[in-house]
Amino acid sequence: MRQAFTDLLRRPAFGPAGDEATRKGAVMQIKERLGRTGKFLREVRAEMRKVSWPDRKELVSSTVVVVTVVVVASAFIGLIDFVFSQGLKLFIR
Amino acid sequence: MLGALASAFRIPDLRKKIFYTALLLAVFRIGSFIPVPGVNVARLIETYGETGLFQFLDLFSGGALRRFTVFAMGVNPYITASIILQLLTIVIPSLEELSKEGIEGRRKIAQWTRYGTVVLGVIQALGITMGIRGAVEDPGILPVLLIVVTLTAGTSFLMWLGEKISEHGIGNGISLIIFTGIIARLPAGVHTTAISIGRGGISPLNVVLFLVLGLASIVGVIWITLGARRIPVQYAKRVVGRRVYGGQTTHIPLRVNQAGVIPVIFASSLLTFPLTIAQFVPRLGFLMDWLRGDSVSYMILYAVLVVAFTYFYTAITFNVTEVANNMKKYGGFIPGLRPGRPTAEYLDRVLTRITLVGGLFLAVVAVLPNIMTSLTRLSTIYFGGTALLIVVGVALDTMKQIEANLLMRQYEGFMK
Repeated sequence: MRQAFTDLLRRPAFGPAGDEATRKGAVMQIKERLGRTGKFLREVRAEMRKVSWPDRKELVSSTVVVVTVVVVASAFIGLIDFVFSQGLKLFIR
Repeated sequence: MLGALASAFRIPDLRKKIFYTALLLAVFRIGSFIPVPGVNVARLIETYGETGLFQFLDLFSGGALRRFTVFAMGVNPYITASIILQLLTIVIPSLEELSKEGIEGRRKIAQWTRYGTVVLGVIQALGITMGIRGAVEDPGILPVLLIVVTLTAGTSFLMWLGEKISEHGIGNGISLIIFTGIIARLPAGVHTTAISIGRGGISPLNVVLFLVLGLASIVGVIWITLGARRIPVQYAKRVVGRRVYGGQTTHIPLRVNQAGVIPVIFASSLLTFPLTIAQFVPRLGFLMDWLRGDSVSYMILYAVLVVAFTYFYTAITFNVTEVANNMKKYGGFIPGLRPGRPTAEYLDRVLTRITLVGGLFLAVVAVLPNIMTSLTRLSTIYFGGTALLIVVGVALDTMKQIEANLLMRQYEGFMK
């Protein structure tokens, strides 16, 4: 994947894309591209079938943890904000 | 489960790290209240408070822009600088070499990122100051320079805070600063909503609907984040002296969303940059309309950028060649594949395919809730998809790090 990025970024923006492009007609090229995209999407589906998803227990516990952390953190930050905003009023006008 | 989190506080080392992080984040909040001299805040909100760009930028600074404080720019320039440097490491061969040279090379790149932050900071500070020139009390060169220097210094200080948190605290400092900025708006949002319900401005039913949708999106984000393609790895048995090592089967998890929240942070922060440039060049004024937070063109561009950055960041952070080589070194192999290059190619192939789903998911979540907010007509809590993704992602990441620290010390984890 990294290589793909390097190729993409180092490729000249203009000029002929290669010998292949000049040899084949435009219609053929588009057809080929579409075919490749379709194949890629089918492969994406095939790989996604093999992905293991979290079970209910894991999902619930993670959600509880995340919600708790956000609530606790925002309460903490809210408290600090309150103290500072009051405290700064003493110094600034 | 949460009891295990409490056990994190019982380990002195870990407790110290958590307190250190909390302390530095508190320092960040102090700075979010110290105003920049020479700016009339009342006039600022009156004139610009309702513009989309202003509200969008304000989201990342946790209200620091609204009050025009020293942290008004947040960590935006730093993020832009790191994107640029990471792109350059791929484009320029000599930089690529440097990034592969280990700690020394990476330190050098980090140093350049810091210089870049200062340069971009000055540009963005100039842009912001130009953008709000109606609220600047004295438009002379020196007062404007004072504002620019103050803003740039604020961002540089934030960058330092973030690096300190990453180094001595827990979690990724920069992400945590953004996280803190977003959740800082939560208490005030809850307060205003509560008042509004009391006055009958918002029906309780809408609030319930909002909460249910919000919770559903949180679960959805967590679900995708934890989804992984587990590649089985078999380790060969080795006999060293009279003992037999290895021979076990493990797996490497290739996550559907390997890049985490970084693509969202990258894309949204990169999009603010053309807007600041547009402040200087009147001819680029059309960008302001184009990239307004609620315009269709903005959403499309944003979604495309998120997907692109998901691929980009996965490519940068997950080096398949290195993983394959490490596996080979310790006698591991994926059943049915040769170690080394074929293994790396296989990993790359799988990763390229599942990352598409991860990237699309991020893009959809980032853009969709704008519609959700307009559906429930609840705008007091700005819970855009971007904010949601960052909050949930950073919370999950940080907890995972605490858990990893616990497991290292043989405590039971709390996220099973």
